[in-house]
Amino acid sequence: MSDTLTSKLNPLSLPLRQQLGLIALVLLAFTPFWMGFLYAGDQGLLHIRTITIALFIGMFAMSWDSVSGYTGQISFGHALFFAIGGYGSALLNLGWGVPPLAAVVLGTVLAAVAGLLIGVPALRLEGPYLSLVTLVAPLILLQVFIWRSDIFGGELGIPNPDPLVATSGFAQETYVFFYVAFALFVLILAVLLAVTRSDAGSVLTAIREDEDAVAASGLNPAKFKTFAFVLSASVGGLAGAVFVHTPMASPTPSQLLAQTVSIEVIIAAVLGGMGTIVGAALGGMFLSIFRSQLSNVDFVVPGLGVSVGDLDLVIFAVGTLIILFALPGGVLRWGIVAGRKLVGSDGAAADGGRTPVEQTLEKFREFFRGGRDD
Amino acid sequence: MALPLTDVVANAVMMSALYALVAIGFTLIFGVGGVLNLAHGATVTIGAFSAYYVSEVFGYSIWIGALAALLVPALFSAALYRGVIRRVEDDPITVMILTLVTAIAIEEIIKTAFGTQPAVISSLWTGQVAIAGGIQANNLLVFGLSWVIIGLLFFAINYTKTGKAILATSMSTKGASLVGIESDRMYLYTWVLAGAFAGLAGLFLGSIQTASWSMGRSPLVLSFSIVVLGGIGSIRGSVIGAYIIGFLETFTMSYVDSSLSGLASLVVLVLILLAKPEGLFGREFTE
Amino acid sequence: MTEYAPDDGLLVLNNLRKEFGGLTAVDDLSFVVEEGEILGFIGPNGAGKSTTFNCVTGAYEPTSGTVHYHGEDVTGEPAYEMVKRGMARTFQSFRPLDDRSVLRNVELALAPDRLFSLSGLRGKTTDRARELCERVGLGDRIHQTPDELPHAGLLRLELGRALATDPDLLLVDEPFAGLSSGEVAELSDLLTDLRDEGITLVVVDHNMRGLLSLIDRAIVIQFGAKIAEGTPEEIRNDETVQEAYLGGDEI
Repeated sequence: MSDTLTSKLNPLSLPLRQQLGLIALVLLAFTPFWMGFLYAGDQGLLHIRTITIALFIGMFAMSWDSVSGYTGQISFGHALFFAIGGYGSALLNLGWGVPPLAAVVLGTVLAAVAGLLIGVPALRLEGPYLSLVTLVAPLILLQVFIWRSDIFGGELGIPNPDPLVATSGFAQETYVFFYVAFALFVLILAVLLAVTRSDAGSVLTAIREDEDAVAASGLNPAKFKTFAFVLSASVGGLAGAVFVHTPMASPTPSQLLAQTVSIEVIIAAVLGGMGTIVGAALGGMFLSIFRSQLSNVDFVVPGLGVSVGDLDLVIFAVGTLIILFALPGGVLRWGIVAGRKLVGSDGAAADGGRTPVEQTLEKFREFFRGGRDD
Repeated sequence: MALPLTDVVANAVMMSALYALVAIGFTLIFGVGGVLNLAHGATVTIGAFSAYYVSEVFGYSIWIGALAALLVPALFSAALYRGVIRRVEDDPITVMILTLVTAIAIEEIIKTAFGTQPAVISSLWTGQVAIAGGIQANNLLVFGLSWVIIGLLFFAINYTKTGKAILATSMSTKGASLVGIESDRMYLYTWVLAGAFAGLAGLFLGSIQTASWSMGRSPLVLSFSIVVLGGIGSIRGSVIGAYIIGFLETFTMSYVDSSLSGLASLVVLVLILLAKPEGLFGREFTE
Repeated sequence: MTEYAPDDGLLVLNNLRKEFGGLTAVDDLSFVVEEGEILGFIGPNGAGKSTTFNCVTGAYEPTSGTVHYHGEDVTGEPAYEMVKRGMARTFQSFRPLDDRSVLRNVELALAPDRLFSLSGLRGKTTDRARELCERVGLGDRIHQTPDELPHAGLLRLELGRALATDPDLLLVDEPFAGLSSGEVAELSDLLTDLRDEGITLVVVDHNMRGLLSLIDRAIVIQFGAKIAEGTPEEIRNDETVQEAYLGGDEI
């Protein structure tokens, strides 16, 4: 038994794609050095900050994927958890002087509790109705924030809480918080990979495929669904909480709660490949970097009078949909399959050729057909 | 400083009729076409701005503007359905994302073209009417017209051949096609109808209040609650649901706190989903 | 209306009733499954066999009536609970997990109902899964996916997954549909072997052809109610049964 475990952890015996992943992580770890090497002074620092933010978006996307990509319960308002984590942590720090680290932990706990409170009743609903609840929950929270602007700051948000680490100088701050983000990223990646590659992970994907078959195998689907939901809420909340304690973000609706944040995360994960965790991380980072680069572009679309910068999300969304028509499983899966062909290995499609998107869509399809006798 | 009850009730009665117009379109698309059209709110906005453009910018009579408010959104919906939705209507997530993106795009375009200042659309009927202590004539007309339209729709759906065909399609596409009904054509009619209603609602909202690029958001969100409360695919349910939600909304805003817009209805939505998802008149969920 | 005591048998149904709106699918049905037997549960299409099945296995909640298993009241308990108690079922319309191989399908049924389990145990799980696949005759197909399996293969997969849960009662839903006579014989042999190993079986079917030589005893239902009970011989000669099958041409 311990043999299989160590063989899974030994870098030299991993499949090629996992080895490449490890290499990519190592390269990512040295980002400040690449940036310092490629760009002079402040420009390099700004790029590092862009990547720091991208890491957080990657974490948000991973949190979404861990429930929606695996169980097929699509959350349309995952920003709710980012906001609960972020605002919760910030308010504890600002209002009660709780030190940042403790505030982050408590913020995460709050998000987990929210996941439980929403998840337990909501997961009993059929697909689209569950999605509707998740779509609406952040709207409710936002409305509450506006209603009690005195506490929550309404549309403008609340002031920045204390940073997680005290730093001096722009450069030092940039480096330190890059590594804070990177460490958290690796931690979340490791945890989510451990869960999804375990027995629990195969139960989750089985739930997406056929919940009744899972029950007939003696497994309680509700328990696993709730677990995935709460886990994803906690991870999202953790990322949100740490995010606001960095100079890269503040507790505002536009960064943590807006509908666009929820959509971003969905697009990112679907583009990278639902149900892979790694795909979501890549998609999230790519989306974030793409948007920040695009928002700096001043090109004005002729006839519309709109700067491309304002349309970045729309462009990205449309682009993603186009890519999805070509690569339904997402970019990562395509990459792995293409890579296998390139290397010449005969890895048969062990997943039976049905991508998570297709499986989830099949469930939705069946739900709507339930009202008609197709 | 509470508002007089009659004013609030009159307002609620009228606004509910408008919400019903929007919700009916939404529930039809959901019930017949099986998809959540998140661009429905933007369709309302298109209606308002079509009327604005025609009557304020081009200077035609407001009634010509009303025609535009009917036709442009209907055409838009038809184009959206034919061009985009039809290819992916089996995939509700993609439809939700696509329509959401479309809504964002429409809002962006309108925001850029007309700016963020609210636009004023002329009243269809000016002056006051001496009922219940004085109501704006326009409000009364809007209310009346809404109900006439709802009544016409109810009659059309239940008593005309096309209407019954649409109903049949909403219950079973296979069954409907067995009797020679082309489901694709029915979906198109549904989308066009929904678009026209949304557009009219936009005009009415615009003339009673003002028109702005984000005016469609609140009706859309309220529609979620109304449609779920009333039951998917049920016109009767949408109307009754609209009145319940409309009153709830108006009373909450007038008597509790005006910044609570939409909150009460959203809470209702969540509660209904958790307690009785099929709503008041929706289809029973079979086991 | 006969009333059975909770420990009259391994599985005891008393006045089980299931209504859907105005439709009564199961009409005060009572019967007993004795330990170690192969019981046939027979009826024409629409008789309520699957609905009864679903009520017993926890897929539906009965409108009224009781289900006792091993003497304990298990009425209305959810499906996964029933499986844990030792009652397994196959699905008439096969429900394999299309996204994974035969082996991994069976592995799922071996997974413990716990959120955290050491993945290192996978080694033993895989061995056990392989054994089970061989037991049901899928030994040479373990790495294939369900869409590559023939009809009989899918049925075997259903059985494999059901057996993985280590049941003492196995409910098999309409297994003989779509099988050639050779496959029918193979399946009967397999089921008899399972009974000899200690598993009680209830086999549901609307067609008595493959069933009568296999089963020890039969219960026949129509319109949700019991119309006959007895040995295969008695059933074959029962007039009510013959009428139910429209002149007995199914027998």
